[in-house]
Amino acid sequence: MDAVVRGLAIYFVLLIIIRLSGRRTLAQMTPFDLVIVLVISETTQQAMLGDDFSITNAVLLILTLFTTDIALSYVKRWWTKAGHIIDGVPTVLVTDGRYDEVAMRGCRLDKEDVMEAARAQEGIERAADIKFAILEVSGNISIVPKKES
Amino acid sequence: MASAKAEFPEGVADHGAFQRKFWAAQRIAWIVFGLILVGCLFGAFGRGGYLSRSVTDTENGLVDFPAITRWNAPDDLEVTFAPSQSDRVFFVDARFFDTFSVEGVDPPQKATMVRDGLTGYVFASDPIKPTRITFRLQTQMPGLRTASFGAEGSVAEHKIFVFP
Repeated sequence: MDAVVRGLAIYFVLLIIIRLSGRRTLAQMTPFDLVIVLVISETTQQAMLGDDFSITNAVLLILTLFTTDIALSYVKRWWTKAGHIIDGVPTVLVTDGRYDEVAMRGCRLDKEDVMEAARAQEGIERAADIKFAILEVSGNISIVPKKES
Repeated sequence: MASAKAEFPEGVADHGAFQRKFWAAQRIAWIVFGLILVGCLFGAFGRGGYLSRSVTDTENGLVDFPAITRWNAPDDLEVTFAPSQSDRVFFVDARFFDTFSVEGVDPPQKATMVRDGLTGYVFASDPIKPTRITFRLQTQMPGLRTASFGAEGSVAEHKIFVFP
């Protein structure tokens, strides 16, 4: 029982904290973000395992995490709103060359972040040449260039 | 007349209202994160800090024990006996052992005894200066726990909250 409760508790606490910390945390993996991920994995390991280092406990914990993940994927399919809350939704940052300042502030992104993606993906030099810049659920910024007429 | 707003690519919908609510919830959550950390510094989550400790001071001795602590975490209880010619006894009841396991006692007790359902740790006393004893504890069960303990003649019931 202990292993399942611990696994579920840590899974949902991490899910809530990561979602509430904002998407930027996952979008740009700077060296410091990598340190945070490593520290989180180290600290959660102890909380999940407790003082039981048996193989049985480890297997039960792994099964708990995978089963929860599978169950959540079904919840997201059946209930779209839950998917929006758990995974977030794509955020349109630029429309027809105009920045959505509210969305940029909400996602804690700078114009430089958008232009970096625009240059890397489409070789775009000016925001005016962007039809859409969308912060995807995955955390990447995808760029749709304006079609040349 | 051209549309004021470009049509979004397929698979992208206007979730503006949802996002604004979510961003507001995020900002509130960040304030809560900060409050939790401040609370932690004050000891609201145990393991050090003003709120995490409680002290009972009687003529028989002073007991400094964890009022808020954490499950499966080490903590300590300090007893300071007033100077005395005779041995001093620190009593705990059975519920104390449901909450904590005693991992060690510094300095070790001379003997243990049982009286009226209480377990007593007997310590040699100093006739001139106070004697300080530290019980090294490990929490056993989470939740709000109640246990009776104290120096001989001043055993009282105390509440201890153990975070999961």
